[in-house]
Amino acid sequence: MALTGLPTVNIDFLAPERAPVDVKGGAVEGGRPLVGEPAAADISGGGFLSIAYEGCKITTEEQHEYVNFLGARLNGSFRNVNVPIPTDWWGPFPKIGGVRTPLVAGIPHSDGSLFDVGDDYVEETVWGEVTANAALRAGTLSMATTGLSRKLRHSDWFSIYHSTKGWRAYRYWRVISQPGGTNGTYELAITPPLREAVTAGTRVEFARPRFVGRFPADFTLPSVTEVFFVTKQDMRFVEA
Amino acid sequence: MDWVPSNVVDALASSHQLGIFTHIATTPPLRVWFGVEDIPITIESVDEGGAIYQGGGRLIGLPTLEVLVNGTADAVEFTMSGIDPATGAAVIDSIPPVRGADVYVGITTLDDYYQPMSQIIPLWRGTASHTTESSPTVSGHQNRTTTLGLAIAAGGETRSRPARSLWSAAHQKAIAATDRFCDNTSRMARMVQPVWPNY
Repeated sequence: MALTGLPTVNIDFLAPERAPVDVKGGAVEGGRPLVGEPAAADISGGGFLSIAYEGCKITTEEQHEYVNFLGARLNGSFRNVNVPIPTDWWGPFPKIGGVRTPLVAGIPHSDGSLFDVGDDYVEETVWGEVTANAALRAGTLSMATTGLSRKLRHSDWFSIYHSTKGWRAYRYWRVISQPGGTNGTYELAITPPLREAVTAGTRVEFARPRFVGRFPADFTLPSVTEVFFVTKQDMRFVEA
Repeated sequence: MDWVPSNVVDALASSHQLGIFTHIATTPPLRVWFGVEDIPITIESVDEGGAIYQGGGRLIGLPTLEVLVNGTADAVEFTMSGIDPATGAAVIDSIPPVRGADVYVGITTLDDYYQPMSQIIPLWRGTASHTTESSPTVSGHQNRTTTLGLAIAAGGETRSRPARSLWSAAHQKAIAATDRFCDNTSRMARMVQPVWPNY
């Protein structure tokens, strides 16, 4: 049940039609008073992430193999995998050729050549760095950002690679302080609270935020073969 | 200072985030709270500094706890479902030492930034008795669940004596032989309204 060094679900390859991400809390209510709504108490302490990839169109041979791999690895809900959150379209990324671009691919070696097998370097366009140590379960985080195309204003997803808890995704619900320009040091109120203490200098990833996930206990992923070799599948993950 | 600090009382008066914590004084102590993921917090004079409560889960049941005031001793069962195996193993592995261990249940509220607003306020203390495990048979496509339980008693809970925590007439007469103040305590059970005696 390792949480670090996990493979990441290849969301581009699965191309889901719809991917709802949510943080599940647990609120309980008291009895209803005469004047209206009762007070509510959340006892989850911040909740946990869940995501679904709905309508993954499985057509090619390799996509069928890949779905089979996910089912083989994750059924039973005890092995984990990194699950990316698709924010490419609305995240704080620069527009290159009119398209928001979280990742730049096709970067060659300094002499212009690629790796022997034709691979290239891929670099994130936007990232951050934690500027002050934060304790386990801190609710605020200071970070210096690089490459933002707009200010952090309402809310964005980002993730941090913790040394024992692995990838964990967070979003902010309030900007406590912000720099003069677009990039600089932000202080953010985050949710859910930090899963593990971070030290100054820890990298914060905005491109394809991800978290360690597993299948919910009531979900398994079947391997489906359909006539004409086109099928659509849904899959669900919750934070491990 | 009040037992429950005033800022916590204020938070409890409207919608709030509540943290519920249990501490089982095995060696080492098992600390579980009812939220998600770990939280560093202590019960004053029970936990050492730097204690961390494990996120016991998303599905955990806490029975109604009755504070014992000269009434029937209460025995309750704490259950955990859907826990991770490490937490469950910590309970199962410690079955012999868990008997007789102190169990504390406390609460505190969390502020907007998920920070506890006080140390854990212990509200209930019991003594661990025995563990139970159940995994009911399921059919069809229902989910199988495993439930670990820990029976915890408050008051006089040993097996050789009945659960009794009221001050009997014999106790009182041992101190003051002619005092009949406690003569009618045996009639005082819960849900009974005794008639005031007319001597």
